[in-house]
Parts: sequence; structure tokens; C-alpha cells
Amino acid sequence: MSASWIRAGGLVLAAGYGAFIVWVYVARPQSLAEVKGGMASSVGLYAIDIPRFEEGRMLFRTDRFPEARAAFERADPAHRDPVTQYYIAYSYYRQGWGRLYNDDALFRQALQALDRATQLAPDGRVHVNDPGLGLPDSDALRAELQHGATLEARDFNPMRLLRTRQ
Amino acid sequence: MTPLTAGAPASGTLGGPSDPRSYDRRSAVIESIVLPLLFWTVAGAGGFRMTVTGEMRFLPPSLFVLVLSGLLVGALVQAGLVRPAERVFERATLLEGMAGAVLIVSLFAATAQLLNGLLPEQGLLALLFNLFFAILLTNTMAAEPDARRLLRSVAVTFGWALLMKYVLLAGLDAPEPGLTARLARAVVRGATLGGLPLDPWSPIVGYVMFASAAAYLGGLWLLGRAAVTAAKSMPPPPSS
Repeated sequence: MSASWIRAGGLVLAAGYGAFIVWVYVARPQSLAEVKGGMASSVGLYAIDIPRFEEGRMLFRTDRFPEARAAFERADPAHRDPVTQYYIAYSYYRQGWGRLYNDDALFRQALQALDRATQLAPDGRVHVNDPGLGLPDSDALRAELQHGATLEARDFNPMRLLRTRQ
Repeated sequence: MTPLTAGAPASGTLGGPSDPRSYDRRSAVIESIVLPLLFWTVAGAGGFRMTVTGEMRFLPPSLFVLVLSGLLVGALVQAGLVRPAERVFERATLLEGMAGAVLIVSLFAATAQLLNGLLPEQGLLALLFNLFFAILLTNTMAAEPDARRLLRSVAVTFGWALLMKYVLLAGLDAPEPGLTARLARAVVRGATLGGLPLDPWSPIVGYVMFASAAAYLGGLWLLGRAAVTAAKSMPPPPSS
């Protein structure tokens, strides 16, 4: 092999590897599963585990939220699917929702998951056609979470006790 | 420039350094494959952190770290270890120039990210380390060391930074420190106006940084060796 071919091959290899390193610092994956999922997603080969996702939805409907999140995590280990991340955010919301007060820590986690979901959505908004969800899109869920996480005058309204979980 | 190699390899053998095609292929492999991949790996590993719970973090370099890496690369150029003009512009073909450019970019990225890994991430200790490195690197440039001395100086500096951040300071932040560590912790806490401002990284990060620093120094050594070999292979200037 001539030196020119070695240089050309090396140039392609080094540029590709450098681009991968730059991608890692832009995407900032937090686990090897996210690295693999991110790479597969960038070439359109990433797909969630549908049976695990359906198992998560079934657990979600029966209010078993930690178990549902575990199933969703198994379905989307790379955190690349906006709908699965939306369900994870929704599970934090429902678990943290309270008639008297909300769990701020769970609401914060819901917002983090919702941020991931909206970042992955092509138009920055997630819409899910599920009649069991009172808040079918990410904008409505975000507003509900932000209201729940802040102290407002209407929080002292006694009628608040009659409100329903979405 | 002081040569980094002890002596020229044996010549006259088939495929040896005297064979121009063999030499050209070898230098192409080193310049276009080995060194860029090595430096990109260091660039990737330099910002790598892992929390004690096993979550990975990839930290980009701060602006100050980029300035420090500019100083260090400047010192490498000054010492003749890196010759950007020869590597990029004074080449016979465009392909060779592009390979040289990729090598220089990867060297800068590796330098920035390795410094990023050796310096504390935040707090007063980060400021002190940054200032210390800035003074040290400008002082090194003022001293104008040759390639061999600069390589030694960089190795010693990186070694101490590794020891300070990943052995001494990490030991001070350990859950059950000994008496000396507790005394030193009290002193450092006094100097840092409160708690020890260190992120609790997994011990594996120290090993990754050690390997990165060793790979970086190995890459610099190889770069200097390639420069010396190229200089030796050049024809002598015409006598007047």
C-alpha cells in the first residue's frame, strides 16, 4: 500500500474518530447504553422495546409508578424516545401529585424527564393519544408541573381539595 | 533542537530507514493514523468523569483551560517538538497538508482536555491550580527549553497535578480519613473558605487520567522523534 493511500485512509479515520469524540461531548451520554443508543439513533437504527413499553403502560395505568418507570427504562435504555420519556415524566407527576401538597422532588424529576422528551421531539413538543392521560401534550404537562412546584395565592383556596389529578 | 532519539537506526537493510518508500509509509502511518487517533483518544478521555453512582459525565474545557492549552502548545512549537508550518503548509501534496492539519487540531484538543482533567473543576482550588499552571507555562516559555527538557518538564508537571488532584485531594475527601488527612483537610478547608470544593468522582477517573497523561506524553515523544527523523532525512543545504 502506498503512503498516499495510508494518508487518505488515516485522514478519513482520524476525522471520523474526531467527529465521534466531538459528538460525545455535545450529546453528553450518561451511560454506555446512551452512547450506543445515540449512535444508533443518529443513523436511524434505534428502536424501543415495544413489549417492555406496553408493560410500562399497563403498570402506569394501575398507579404502580416506580415499577412502570423501571419498565420504561428497560424499553428505552438510551433515553432517545420522546413518547417513553413523556410517560416517565407523567409517572413522576402522578406519583408526586397530592390533594393537599405536591412532592417537589418528584415534580423536579418530572420536569427533567419532560425536558429530555421535548429535546428529542422534532418540533420540541410531544403529543400522545392516550385517553387515560388528562394532559395529552408536553406543554400542558409542563404548565401543570410548574404550577405545582410554585407557591401561589390559589394554593390557599379551600376548593383546591376538590381538584382532580390529571 | 536536541535530538530525542539516542541514535539513528541501522541503515542499508531492505525496508529499513534508508528505503525511501518504507520510510514514507512508516511516517504516513505515524502521522495520519497513530498520532491523531492517540490524541483524539486523550481528548475524549480528558473530560471523562464518572460519579460514584456510575453515571458518566463529559466535561468540555473552560475558556481558561483553552488559554492554558494554547500556552502549552506554544511551548511545544517553541521547543521544536511541533512544527505547524512544516506539518501543514510546507508539504508536497494537499493530502499531506490535510493530515498534518488534523494532527495539529487533535494535539490541541488533547492538550485542552488533558489539562481539563488535571485541574479541579470548581472553587478556589480551581482558581489556584489555573493560576499556577499559567505561571508555570509562561515561565517555561520564557526559559526556552529544548524538546527533551520541555518533555521532562511537562511530564513532571502532569505527574504532580495527577498526584495532587487524584491522590492527595481525593484522599482528603475520603469518607474515613486518617489523622494526617484530617489535619490537612482542616488546613485546606481554612484556605478554601469552607468545605473542600471537590466533586466526588469515582476512583476509576484517576486511572483514566493517568493513562491519558501517559498516552499524551508518549504521543509527544513520538511526534518529536518523527520530527528528528524527518530532519535527518532532509538533504543538506547547498554550499555557497
